[in-house]
Amino acid sequence: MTARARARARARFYVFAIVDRRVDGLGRGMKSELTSIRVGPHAYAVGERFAEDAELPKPTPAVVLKHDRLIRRIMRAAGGSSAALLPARFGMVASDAALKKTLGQLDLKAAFERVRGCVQYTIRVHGKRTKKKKKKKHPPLAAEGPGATWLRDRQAATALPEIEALATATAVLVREASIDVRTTATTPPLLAVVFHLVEQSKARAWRSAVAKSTQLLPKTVSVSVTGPWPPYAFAEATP
Amino acid sequence: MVARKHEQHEPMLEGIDASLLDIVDHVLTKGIVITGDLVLGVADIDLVYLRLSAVLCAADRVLGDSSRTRASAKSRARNKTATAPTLGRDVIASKMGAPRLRRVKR
Repeated sequence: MTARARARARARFYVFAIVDRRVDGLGRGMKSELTSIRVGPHAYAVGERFAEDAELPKPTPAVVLKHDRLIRRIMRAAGGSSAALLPARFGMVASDAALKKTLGQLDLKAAFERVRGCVQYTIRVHGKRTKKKKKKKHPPLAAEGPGATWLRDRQAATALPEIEALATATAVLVREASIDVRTTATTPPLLAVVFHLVEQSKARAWRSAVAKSTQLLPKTVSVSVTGPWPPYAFAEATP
Repeated sequence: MVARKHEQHEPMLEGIDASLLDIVDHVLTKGIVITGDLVLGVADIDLVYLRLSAVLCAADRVLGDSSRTRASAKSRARNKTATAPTLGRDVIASKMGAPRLRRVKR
C-alpha cells in the first residue's frame, strides 16, 4: 500500500447527501472540495474528505447554513426536478470503507424512489388545541387486540383537527405527510410540525392551496410555512 | 428543453423562506438515519420486537472521546450544549427507537 493510499484509507468522509448518480464539479467557486464516492450499485455519497488529524466542522450557525446550502447545490447538480437525494444528518462521518459497507446493506433504491423529484415543505402549527368533546373511547373491534385499540386511540389523539382544512386542500398534491407533535412554552404554543413531501411539478399548486386553506383555519390556530427544503424529514433507508 | 426545465426548478430550491432556527432544526434533527429491526426471543419464540435507529457518525461525537471522558464529564454536565464533532473512530452508534410489540409465535 502506498503512502497516498494509506492516507486515503485513514481519511474520513464527511457526508452531505446520498444521491443516485455521480455528481461532479461541485467544488467550483466554493471553499468546500466536494467529491462523491460510490457506495452501492446506484448510490453515491457526496461529501468532503478530511485528513485523519483535521478538525471536523462544528455546529456553528455559519456551518449549519453552509451545510444546508451545499445540500441544495448537490440536489440541483443531481438532476433538479428529477433528483433523488437523501440529505445526511449533520455530523455523518466515516471512512470510505465503513460507508460502503453500511450503506451497501441498505435498500437505497426504495429510499430514492420515495423522494425522487420531491421537495419538502414544513408547516409549523401554533395555537390552542380546539376543545375536545367528551373523550370518546373506541370500542374494540372483534379482531383487534388491546394494543391495536390503544394505537387507534393514540392516533386519534395526535391527529390535528385544527388544520383539517389545510390537510384536505393539499391531500391530492402531497405524496407523503408526517407529523411531529411537539409542545413548547412559546406564545402561542407550538402544537405540531407537519412535513409534506411534494413533487416539484405540483409545488406551485400546493402553495396556492395552502394560501387559500389557511383562511379557513380556526382563529385560534396559525400556521407558518417554510420551504422548499430538500427532503430532510423523509430521508430514511432500511436494510 | 431540458435546460429550460432546470431553469424552472432552480429558483424554487434557492428561494427558501426560513429563519436560521428552521435551518438548524432541519439540519441537526433530520436527515438520513439507518434503521433496523430486532426481535428478542427465547427458545425460538419471538417475544419482543424492537425498531432500532442508528446514526452513522464518529463514535466520540456520540459517546465522547474515551481518553477525555472522565476529565470532561463534569464540564459537560455543567454545559449541556451540543457536542461538536471531533476526531473519531468509525462506528455505527446505535440508539433505541420506540419499541413496538410483535405477535408472539405459538
